[in-house]
Amino acid sequence: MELSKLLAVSMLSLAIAGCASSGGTTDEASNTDASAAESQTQGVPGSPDLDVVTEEQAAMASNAMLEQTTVYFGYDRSEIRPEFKDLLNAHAGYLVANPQASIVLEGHCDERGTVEYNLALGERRADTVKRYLIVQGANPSQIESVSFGEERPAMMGSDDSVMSKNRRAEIKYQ
Amino acid sequence: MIKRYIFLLLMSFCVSTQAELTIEITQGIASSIPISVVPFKFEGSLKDNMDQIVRSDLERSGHFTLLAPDDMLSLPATEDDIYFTDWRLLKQDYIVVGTVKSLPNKQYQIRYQLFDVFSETELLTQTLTGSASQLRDIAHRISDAVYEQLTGIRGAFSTKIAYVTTNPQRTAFSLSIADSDGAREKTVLTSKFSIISPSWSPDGKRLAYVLIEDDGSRVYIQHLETGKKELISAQKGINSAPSFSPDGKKLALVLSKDGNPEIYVVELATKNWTRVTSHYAIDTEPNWMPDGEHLIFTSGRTGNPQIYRVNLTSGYIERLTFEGSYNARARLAQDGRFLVLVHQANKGAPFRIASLDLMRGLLKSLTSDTQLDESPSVSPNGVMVMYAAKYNGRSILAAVSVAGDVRFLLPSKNGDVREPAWGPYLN
Amino acid sequence: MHFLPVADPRSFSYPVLIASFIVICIIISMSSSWIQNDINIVQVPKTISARIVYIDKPKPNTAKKPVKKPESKKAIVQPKKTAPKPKIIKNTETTAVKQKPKAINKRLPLPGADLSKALAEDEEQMKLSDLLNSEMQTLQAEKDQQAIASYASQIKLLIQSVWRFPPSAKHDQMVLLRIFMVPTGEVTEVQIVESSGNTALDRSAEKAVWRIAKFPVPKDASLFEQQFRKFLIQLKPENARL
Repeated sequence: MELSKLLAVSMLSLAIAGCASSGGTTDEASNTDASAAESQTQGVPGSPDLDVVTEEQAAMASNAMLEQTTVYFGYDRSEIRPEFKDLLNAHAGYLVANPQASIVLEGHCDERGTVEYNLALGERRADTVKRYLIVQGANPSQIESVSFGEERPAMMGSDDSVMSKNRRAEIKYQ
Repeated sequence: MIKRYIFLLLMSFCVSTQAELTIEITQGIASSIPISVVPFKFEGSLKDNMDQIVRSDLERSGHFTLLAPDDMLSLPATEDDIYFTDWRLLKQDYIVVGTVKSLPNKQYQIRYQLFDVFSETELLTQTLTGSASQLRDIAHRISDAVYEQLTGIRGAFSTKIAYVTTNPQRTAFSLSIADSDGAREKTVLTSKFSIISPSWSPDGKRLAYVLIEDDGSRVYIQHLETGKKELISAQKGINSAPSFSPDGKKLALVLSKDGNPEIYVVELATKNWTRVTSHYAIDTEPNWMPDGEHLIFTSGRTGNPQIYRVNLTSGYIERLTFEGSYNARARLAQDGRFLVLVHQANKGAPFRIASLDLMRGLLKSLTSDTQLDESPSVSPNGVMVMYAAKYNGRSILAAVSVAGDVRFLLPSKNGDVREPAWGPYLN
Repeated sequence: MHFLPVADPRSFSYPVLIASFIVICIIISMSSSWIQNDINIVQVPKTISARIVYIDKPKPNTAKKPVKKPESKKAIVQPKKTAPKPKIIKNTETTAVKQKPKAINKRLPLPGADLSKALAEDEEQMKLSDLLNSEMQTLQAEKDQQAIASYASQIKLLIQSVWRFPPSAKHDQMVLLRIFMVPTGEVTEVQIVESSGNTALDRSAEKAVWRIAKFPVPKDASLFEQQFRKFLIQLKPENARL
């Protein structure tokens, strides 16, 4: 898992580097086809403008991620899955940037297993998210956690797809 | 020579069975006792069918097979009416007959007799009096007496059960108490918050329970006669899984205020707290042993939930379950010879109620056609287990005997029923 | 522990003294050696008297037979179903064979060689018939053991097929019954020698015996008298769930 991620990231960075180096070529191309290019390439600026759009895009992307407030877990597990790290980083970033903001983390479980053990497991999930956010720079005083065990499912039903939606931690801004 | 005679003389003092042929039988067929409870004779009609209540009680216990009234050749009401050959023909071992008489002051008098069919001898007779509202109680007392006479075990038919009912949307919850057969339900608490883990005090006068409120779980005790509620614990984190000690003076429960769920004991009079477990894994679901010196609890310390026992004085912890990927919420049964618990054989397998024979180390599933079984609760005589299960998409209560040979579902109510707690003997 | 006066019927002093005396006597009698053969005799069939005979040329068959007995018994019982073997307490004759040298050194000085030869032949005859007798007795004892095992096994299987124990029966409970029979095999009385503590279980054991009511018994009257006139049945529901 780790290795393939590393490969993907390195491929991506190579591609980005490639794009950067071929930026000149594109510019040359656009200069040679100036007349044709101008009508087409009004929205395509040179290298400095590329960065501004990326920041905007990044800001938009970050906001979009803040809209997502649920982290899902594997069956009987409480560790953060890699696909949710970006999401949590975004929230951590927000908390760092807004010291007056505070959240409550709610831990939940699917209905398998006992009621009390699930109450404990739900707390574990909320606490794992809390610790991650703190490591990313958030202030512990901004984060509360509470467990609802299997008592407040997101969806009713017993099949796997429903149950996977119930194994979650929710971020609730106060 | 003399020594030989002395020896032989001494040997003759020995038990004579030494020389007697002894044949050892080690196998038989487990089978419930066939008994007939004949419809009681009464002029008129009663709101409660007493003999039907007795038949249901005895049938649910798993010890007896009841002959249906339709299959009876005659309906005797007293000894004189009984033609024992008939009942031997029907292969009945025992017969109960009775009469109900209405008395002037709106009272009823019930007389019943229990006979051994083979020897044609009377084993039990009693006359009981009560009002119309007490007829169910009288019927359960008859069941208790017959059960104890024929099995040697105290009957638990006059006990109560507590449970939580909720609507499908999970927006309204109620904690209720009913007879062990589900009749005469009474609500003791309603809440918009989830109610879990009801626990009876040994005198049957108080119920401890947990409310899962918006900002955390809290433990309460309610006095049933007065309805008075007392907050026991609302500390940071989890406050849950209450369990009354055998003397009723202490409560074991789970707090996570110190970083992760651990077990504590609180003395109710002094509010003196003692910590029992100290492990970074989940420790929960404490349950007292009758000696008041040990707790059985669930711990995830080896990776997945297993059952442990802790000595409260020495702190010594012993693991009890070794089979399966999930073992939780254990309760003692059959005079402490067994545990009943929630068990999953391996990842992906269904959750079942299982019994663990502590003497022989044998773990056996007790349920098979329900799914997601949880919250086992044992009757005070240690014979039956009540539990919650998913059946046709709804949550219902069911019961099974620890020997695993009979099972019944409680009459269905509206909504989902969960978290049963079997009450103690009431005297 | 507080000591009661010796004369008090509740006191343990007298029984303790008597018991100690018996134990000491046993220890004394067992600590010194004596004739070994006698220990093993508990019951000897009245009609058969076994004699141990030593011949100066011991035949291998005779010497080995008593040792083979337990093995042959096992071979007979094994094919019968999966039920564990009936434990029958051995109560006939010896298993140890002691070979006692018996010197034949009487010689009648006779004038004629023929007479001594005839005498020698006579002696040989007697030795042979003695040998035959003892062989027959051993064979008979063996047959008896087999018969007892066979009838015990049949009784056990019959009872196991009809014994219905109650759901409250626990695997470690045990009830001991004494059965009284008449030579036809009919049961005349059943006594509870030792209760299991579970009355429903005790009752189920009695019922099982009465349900069969008539057991197969050996035709041999003496064998019936010794073993089956009254005997014990021990019932333990080892296949109970609890």
